[in-house]
Amino acid sequence: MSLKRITKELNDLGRDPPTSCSAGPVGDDLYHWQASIMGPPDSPYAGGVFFLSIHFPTDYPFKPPKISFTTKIYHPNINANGNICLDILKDQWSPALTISKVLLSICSLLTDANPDDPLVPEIAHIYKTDRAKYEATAKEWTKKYAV
Amino acid sequence: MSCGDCPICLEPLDYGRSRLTECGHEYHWDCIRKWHHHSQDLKCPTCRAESHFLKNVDQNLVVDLKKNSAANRVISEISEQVRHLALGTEASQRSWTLSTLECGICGALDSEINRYCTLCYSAYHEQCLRTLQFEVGDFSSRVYCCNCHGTFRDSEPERVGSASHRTGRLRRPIRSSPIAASAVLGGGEFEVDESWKLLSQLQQESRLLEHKRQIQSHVRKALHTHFQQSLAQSQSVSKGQFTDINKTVSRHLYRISGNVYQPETVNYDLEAQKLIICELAKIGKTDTHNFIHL
Repeated sequence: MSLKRITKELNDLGRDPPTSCSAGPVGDDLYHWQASIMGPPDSPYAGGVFFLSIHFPTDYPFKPPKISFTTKIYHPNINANGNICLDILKDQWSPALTISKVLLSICSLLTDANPDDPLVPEIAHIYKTDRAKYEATAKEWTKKYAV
Repeated sequence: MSCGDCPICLEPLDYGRSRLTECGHEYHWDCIRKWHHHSQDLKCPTCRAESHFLKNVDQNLVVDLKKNSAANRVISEISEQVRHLALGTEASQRSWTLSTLECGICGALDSEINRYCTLCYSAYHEQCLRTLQFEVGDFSSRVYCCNCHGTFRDSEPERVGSASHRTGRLRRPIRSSPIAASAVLGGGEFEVDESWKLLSQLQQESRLLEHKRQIQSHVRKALHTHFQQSLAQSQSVSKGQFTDINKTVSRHLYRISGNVYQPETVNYDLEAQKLIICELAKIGKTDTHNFIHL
C-alpha cells in the first residue's frame, strides 16, 4: 500500500501545492523525499528557506515518516541534528495525515514554538525568559544558514 | 483528496466502505482494521475519537470493535505468519527455521541446543542460560526463557529402552515430546515443531553414538589387556574371532545400560572382562586364571 499512497500524495502535491512548502523525491527512490519550508512571515525565520529530508517507512501510512531539518535552525523544538520534537511525528501520528499536512504543522511550529516540551532546553529557557534575545538569535541563524 | 476517498490509502471508497458509528468518518474496511491493529487502540485517524462500532456500509454489518479487537489482533497476527510461510521460498523458509533454532544467547546453531521455550519458540543452550542467570545474580536452579520468561520444553527426546528409567539416571525429567506438542499446536507453529523434531532426532542419534563410543572404549581396553596377557601365554585368537567378541560384548553392554553410558552404576571394565571370558569359553579359548589378575 505504501508506494501507491506515496505516489498519490506526490500527485496531489503537484496538482494542489501548499503555499509555503514544497516536497518531492530526491532521486528514483520514492521513499526518500526532500522538502522545503519558507520561514513564516510573522516569525524570526521570515525570509529563510529551510530544507528537510523525509524518509517513508515501508509500512507508511501506518507508521509516521521520518522528517528532519537539513538546514540549521535556532528553535526550542529542533536540535542541532535537525530532529524535530513534534507529537504527530511520533505517538500522535495518524494515517489520515499527509506530508502536506505535516509540513504545515511544522510551519506552525516555527511560528509558535512549544517551550514546555523542548528538545533543546537552553533555547527553551531563553525563549521563556528573554524573548527578544531568542528572536535576535533566530533571525541571525536564519540569515546565516537559510538565506 | 475528494470527500469520497479513504483518508488512509487515498483511494476512492468504491468498495468495502465502512463507517465508524460514533464519529461517522469513513474508511475502507481493510484500511481502518489495519490501522486499529497497528495503533493498538480504537481511535479514529481523522478526529481521534474512540470508536466502539464499525459499520460495513456495503454489507450492512456492524462489528463491535471493543469486543473483537483482541481476537482480531491474534487472527491477523497468525494469518500474517501463515502468509509469510506460504509466500517464502524454500530457501527463506529454511533460514527462518534455522534462525528459530539458534541459541538465543550465543547465536550458535549446533546440536547442543537443549532448551526450547514453549511460549515464544526461542532456543537456547542450557549453559548459556545458566551463565546469564548467574551473571544477573539469579542463583535459583530453575531456568526460564530470557526472552519471554516462559517455561521450557526439554529437548531431551524419549529414551529408547527402559533401563535408563530403572536406574533413575536421567538428568532431567521428560515433560513432553515435541511431537506430542505439535499435535496440540497449530498453524505456523507446526513448522517450528517439525524442525524441532528433526533437531531432536539428530541430537538423539548423535547422543546415542557418543554413549556407544564410550562403552566401546571400555570393551576395547578390556580386550586389549586380555590379549596382551594371553599372547604371553601363546593363546592366540583369530582376527575374526576378536572382532566378533568385540561386537557381542559391546552389544551386550549397550543393552544392560539401556544405550546410555553410565559409568557410575555400571563397572564397564569388569563387565567387559566377564563377558569376554564368556565369549572365549564359547569358542573354547578361555583361561579363567588370567582374569583373576585383571
